Amino acid sequence: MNENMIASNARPEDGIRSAEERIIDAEKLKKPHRKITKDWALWVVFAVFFLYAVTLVFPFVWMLFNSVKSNQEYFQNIWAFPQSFHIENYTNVLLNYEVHNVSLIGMFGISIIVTICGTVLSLLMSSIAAYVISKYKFIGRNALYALAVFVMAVPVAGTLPAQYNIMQTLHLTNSIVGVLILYASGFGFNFLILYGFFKNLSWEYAEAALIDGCSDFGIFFRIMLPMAKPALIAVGVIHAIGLWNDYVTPSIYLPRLPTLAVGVNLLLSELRGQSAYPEMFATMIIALIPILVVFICFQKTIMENTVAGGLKG
Amino acid sequence: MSIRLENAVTAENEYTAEQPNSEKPPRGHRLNRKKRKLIFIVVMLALPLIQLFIFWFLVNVNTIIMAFQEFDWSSGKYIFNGFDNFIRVFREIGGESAVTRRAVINSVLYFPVTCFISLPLSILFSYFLYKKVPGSAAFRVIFFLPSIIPVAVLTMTFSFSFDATLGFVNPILRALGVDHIPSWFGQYPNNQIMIFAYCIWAGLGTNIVLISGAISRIPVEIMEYSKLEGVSKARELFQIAIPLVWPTISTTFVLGCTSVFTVMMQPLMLTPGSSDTQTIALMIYNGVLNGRNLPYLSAFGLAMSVIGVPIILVIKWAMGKPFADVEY
Repeated sequence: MNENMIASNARPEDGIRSAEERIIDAEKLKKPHRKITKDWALWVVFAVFFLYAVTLVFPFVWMLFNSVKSNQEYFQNIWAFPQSFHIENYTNVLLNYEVHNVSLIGMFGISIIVTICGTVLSLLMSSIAAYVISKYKFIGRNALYALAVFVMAVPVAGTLPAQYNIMQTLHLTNSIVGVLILYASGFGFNFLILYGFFKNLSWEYAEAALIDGCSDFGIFFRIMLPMAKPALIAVGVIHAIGLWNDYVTPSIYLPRLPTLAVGVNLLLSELRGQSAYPEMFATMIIALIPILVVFICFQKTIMENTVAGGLKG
Repeated sequence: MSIRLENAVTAENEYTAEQPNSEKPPRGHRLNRKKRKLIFIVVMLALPLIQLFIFWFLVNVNTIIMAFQEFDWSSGKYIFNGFDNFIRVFREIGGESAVTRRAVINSVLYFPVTCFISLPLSILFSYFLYKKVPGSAAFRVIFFLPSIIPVAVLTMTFSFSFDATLGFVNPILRALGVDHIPSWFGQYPNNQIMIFAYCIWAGLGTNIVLISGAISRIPVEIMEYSKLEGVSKARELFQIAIPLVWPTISTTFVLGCTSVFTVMMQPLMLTPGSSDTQTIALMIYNGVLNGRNLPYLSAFGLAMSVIGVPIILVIKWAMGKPFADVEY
């Protein structure tokens, strides 16, 4: 504290000195033990971080090892390195176990369809809404933007019963189409991000295209959408992860066609009930692989945009 | 309904569509252009607006209508029953139903857990992550993982680690000399505390990535200047970093408040079938899944919204107060 005061008191006299010189001065004024304390504190934090990171990673490594043991081997010692590799645990859970007559491979298929179609639909709807509202002047445009913000900002609890009731009335329960229609929302978080993007996009390209006789539809689909590709990929990857992991919607509206997120939960409970632990671990590792692959491929995009999203949301 | 909506949009836009920044073409061409633009706006906005109308507006209206109804078994229809559902909701919370009462209490407890334990911890961690603790890049990636791992896998990992006979936590504790190991997921309130512990464990990472990301966007000059001035770490955190990333913190805080009404996955998966650890959202979800009394569930949700939404909006407003938004 003392040296801090000296450093700040010294400031008025040395107004013309460069910042570097002042840093050197400040360093000189510091007592040696201060540097050591600082490092010591950082290492304590490092130790805490390291422990937390271990609790996040270790369980999965432990499971990976135990997933290739035989059941007997696992019961004998949960800590031992596997003596033989029972890869059949993996093929077993992939092929021989079913939830509502759907195997894990089937669940992958359903999840892929729901995720890809849901993401494309949602991106299309929100980019259409964002583009038209940000680039075209018409009465009600500001009201629509305000509505989009309102929909996002006001938390509503417990509309699920009414939503279910409407889905029943429209005969959209038990169908992938129903889930996709629910997912195809044009006004949400994606809308706000894409609105910001289109708002800043120059209109000059559109003007040039208009003179060349291009229609408004052509401008949107052939010029604006391709230009929005980086933004769409960033928003889309995060949205797709959300849909891939979504549990509530598919568990209610697709009870006979379990997606991976829903089916794995049922399968894990079943395997735990049967004490088939290595196979349970294998199931968990299998469920992790696709998300890890996507994360490794798009790690920078995902993390940067989550941060940006956190700031805006 | 869809036709009506399209017409409404058409009527709204008919003579007003104007293109920004464009030069005015000759008159005949302009009318033509106006019409084409109008068609474009209407056709494009129709689908998103119909979706919003049905699945946001009608769903909310339907929630209100259903809350005042009951299913009449003799006619097979929903009939108006006044405030009966609401009276039942408040009676149950008042003590008539131990399960409902506990679900509300559990839900409310998520507020202090997320806002006063998880969030301050995340801010502290984030600051040190920003301060370049050795290996911070790797920590960021690892801390981020819980937010993308399927919740079924993450919850099973957590609960199985604490399995009494085959998990790995108890052997480690025994090796460390802990004698009285509790039954983690056995009974209330142990299981509820474990769910809170899970929420902190799994939620910390995401918060850290969000907040440290925000701190790293503070211009380097500001932090360097404070270093020159010899500002202590604590002052730098509380008087510089926190005020500058306040929007992110207040958003996280408000999200923590809304968790009272939205949390359901954690108790659903960590304590399947338990009636002690239910939350408001989980009760509604289970009710819908099992085809129970939809009008009563609507009333339950609506009653919670009517109480909760104003509180959350006030908190949101109050959270915007302490520090002025700084552009940097």
